[in-house]
Amino acid sequence: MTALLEARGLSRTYDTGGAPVPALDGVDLAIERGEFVVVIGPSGCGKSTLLNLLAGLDRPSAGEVWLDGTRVDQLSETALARLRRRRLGFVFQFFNLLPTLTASENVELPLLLAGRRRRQARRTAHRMLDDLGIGDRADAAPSQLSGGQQQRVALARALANQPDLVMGDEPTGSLDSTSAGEVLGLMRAAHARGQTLLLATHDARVAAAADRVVTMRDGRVTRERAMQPSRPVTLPFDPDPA
Amino acid sequence: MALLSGGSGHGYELKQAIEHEFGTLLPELNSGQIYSTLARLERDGLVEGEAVADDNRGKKVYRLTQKGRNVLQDWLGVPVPGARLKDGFFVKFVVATSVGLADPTDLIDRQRDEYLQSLRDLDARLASAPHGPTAELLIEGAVLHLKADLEWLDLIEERLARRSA
Amino acid sequence: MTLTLVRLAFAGLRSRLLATTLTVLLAGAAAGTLVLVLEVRDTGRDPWERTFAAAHGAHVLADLPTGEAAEALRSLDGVTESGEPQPQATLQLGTGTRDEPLLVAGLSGTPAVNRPIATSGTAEPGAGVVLERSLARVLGLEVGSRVVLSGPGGEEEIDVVGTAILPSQSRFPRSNPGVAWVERPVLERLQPDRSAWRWIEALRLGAPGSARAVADVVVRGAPPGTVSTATWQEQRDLALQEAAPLQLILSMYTVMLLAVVFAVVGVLVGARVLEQTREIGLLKAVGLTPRQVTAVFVIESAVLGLVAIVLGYAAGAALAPDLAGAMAETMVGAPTTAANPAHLVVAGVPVLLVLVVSTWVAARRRTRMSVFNALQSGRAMPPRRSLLTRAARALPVGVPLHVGVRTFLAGRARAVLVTAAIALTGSAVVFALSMQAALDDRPAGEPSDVPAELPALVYSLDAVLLVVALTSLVAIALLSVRERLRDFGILKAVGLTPRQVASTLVSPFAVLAGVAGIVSVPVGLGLFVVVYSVSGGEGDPVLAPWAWLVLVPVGTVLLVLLATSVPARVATRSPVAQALRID
Repeated sequence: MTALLEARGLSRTYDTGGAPVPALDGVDLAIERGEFVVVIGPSGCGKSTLLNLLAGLDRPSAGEVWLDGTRVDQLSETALARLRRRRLGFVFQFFNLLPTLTASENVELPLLLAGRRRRQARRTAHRMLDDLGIGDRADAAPSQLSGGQQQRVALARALANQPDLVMGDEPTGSLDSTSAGEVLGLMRAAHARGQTLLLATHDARVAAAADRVVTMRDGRVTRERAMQPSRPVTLPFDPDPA
Repeated sequence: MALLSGGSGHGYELKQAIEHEFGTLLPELNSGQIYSTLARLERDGLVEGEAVADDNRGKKVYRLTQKGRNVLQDWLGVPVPGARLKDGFFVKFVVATSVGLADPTDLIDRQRDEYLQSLRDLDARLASAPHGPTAELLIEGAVLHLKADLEWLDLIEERLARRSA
Repeated sequence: MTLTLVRLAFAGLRSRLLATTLTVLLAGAAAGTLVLVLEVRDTGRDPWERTFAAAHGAHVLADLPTGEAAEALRSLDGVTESGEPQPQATLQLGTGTRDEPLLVAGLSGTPAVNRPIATSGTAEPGAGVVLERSLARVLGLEVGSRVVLSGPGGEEEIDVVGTAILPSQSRFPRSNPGVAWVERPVLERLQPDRSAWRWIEALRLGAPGSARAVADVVVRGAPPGTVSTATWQEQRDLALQEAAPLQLILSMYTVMLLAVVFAVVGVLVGARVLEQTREIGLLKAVGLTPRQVTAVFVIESAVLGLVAIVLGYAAGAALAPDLAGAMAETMVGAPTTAANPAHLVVAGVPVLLVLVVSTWVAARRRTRMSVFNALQSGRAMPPRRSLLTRAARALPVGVPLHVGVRTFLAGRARAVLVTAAIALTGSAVVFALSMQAALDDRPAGEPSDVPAELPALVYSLDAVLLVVALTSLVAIALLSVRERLRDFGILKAVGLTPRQVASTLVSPFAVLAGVAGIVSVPVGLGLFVVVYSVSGGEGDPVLAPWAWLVLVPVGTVLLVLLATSVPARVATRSPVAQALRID
């Protein structure tokens, strides 16, 4: 079975005027359908670059990107855009919602692009926001929402077209610990429903939720490890007797 | 003593309360241990016992003395010391690397795996089995400690890399 | 503190070359046009005075029925000099292609007062005829042309021996019929009936200011309706009236340019303030009051304005002689060579005022808010209840247009100003089209009383406005792109193709252009009607045909699309990863 998303020998070097900077140096990575993969590493290790390349938001200097058996790193911008809108969802650290649209309209955007009718898109968007617990804020502007709420809207937007893969670059990076936990919970719920996830993060908690943890350093993958199923935890005492 | 601060009680009642509140935190205490503890407390003047009149087995009802109350308050008033300079992993790390017994990166990686796994376990516990708000606090506390430990591992790894560079 | 503010202002100038250049260009154009208006008005006067002096002009000119009555005027009180009574009759001039009635004067020697001044050939008719210069020009005649003069006494072929000007005669065909001079015997031959002759008497006075009084005496001393007079002031005003439509049009364009400057500077400053919200916040944290922060922006605009005014003055003063010379067809020589420095001030004040007020209004609003609010107001949604927003949401338009329009609505002031600027430019074009239609409408061969330079002037001014408007549009679009780099990144990540992303920028502009283009048609037509009637046009003004007018909104949209296409391309090239990291 071919992997859903595959990077083969992926490299990206930036020419910043001085010496060229290799942000990514020959990375191989395969994501299977239904997996929850997390990439961790210190800042500057290249995990964001990797995600951008895999999403087609940037072009590799060398190597290949394969999506479901088709090579995609050499497609035109237009073709990539069309691919993205149906098959990929993206969540960012700074939410990146369009400030001039309401929460619902932000979620409707990918639906409209995929060809849904306006009314249907609105209904779907409202339903998704409901599922994520912010249905009552559907008509609010992003500036009126808290960080956690905005990220939930962003997640709804990413999930809107039921993409093959949802990618996130530090999705909990700008959230306080409670909101981060909530958003992580929502992502895990999506995974439980079958959504494939690929996240880059500093947050150990997010990493712990993954099926597989990929460690990067200086543009290379240094370690890959599958997480074991969780072991039971017994509390030393029961402070809240039933 | 904290239990007694709420009121007086028999040794037997105390045993039951302890088992109920603290469950498996402590190994199962037998009555003998309870009574000997109570006797010691009485000798130190922190509790005092009164014989129950109509009971011919000589059971006492224990009660907290004023001195006992003061001791209890002191215990509550003094914060738990913060700096924790004892860590099992660190001992292992220092020992193994100084003698060259193990590869430091390897140690760190394996410890990291364990920490991540524990995090996973804790998250799963939070998500699945029912728990009250206090239990949740306890678990979240453990999560945060783990995150800090993981950061520490990153730091150790980074310093190692710097030193060898 | 003032020094600090000035220094801050200069720091701002260096860092935004595009906006700075644009502001100077705009203000300079406005200043230049203003200077033109003033110079042209001034240079109108001087040549006439010179012509009057060279012709030894008449302070009072009288048109009488008999030679005796004319002779009698020579001994009036206050008259210091007078010429011989000059007979004048109406004759026909035939050029071969057309016939034109003329007032022909019969000269016997050079007149003492109000002499015709030769502009080509000679002013002494001899055996030929001297034509008034503008008459000759319209009829296409020059020295050596052969014409036929005819009257009740017969007709004669006669040579044109010269063209001349007279301070009492303004441009043909505005002043109709035209005049010509022949020797007296020729007149006697062609119009033997002396009772059909009029007699012209030219008087010079010791006290020129009393011309009106003397003219009244002349009129009162004769049976009513038999005598007409013209004082030297009336002669001058008539001559200068020609300049009226020109000045009116120049003034109109100046106002338009100033309005466009106001709008565009408002947009530029507004965008600038938005971009520098963080710096403004810092300034305020350091202790500057909102008023002082606004002052920084105002100082910067003022400095730019001063530079622009100087440049505009230089340009206007350089162009003025050509323009004024064209107007001074009936007058002597070149206008004053030295431009009037007072015009620098008179032109400078309105331009500076417009710049300063526009900047002040745009900056004040934003600097008054807390930094947080400023950030919000720049990027926030308009209130949901707004009719425009609801309309925009309901429209069944494609995604890019929808996103683009919503963004524009969020910055409504800018949208309004841009629309206004485009509409003004469009109405200037409509004005020119109507003018051209009116000119075209005249029957072939009939002389036009519109100076030939007028269309050229109008087209040039239109060209200036168009250049200004297009440059502004490109600049404003580039500014928009810079502001919205993050939005473009988001849109690309969500899956808009590069063309769609460009469209979010371009399509709202196109919509605005369409609206502005449609609005500009009635506005331009209205302006034309007003100018036409104020300049003494007769009858209903001819308006541009519908076929032409339709081109204006269409052309506007196309031009705007063209202008914004380059910035749009920049938008699609913005590297996504970088754009999305912008907080």
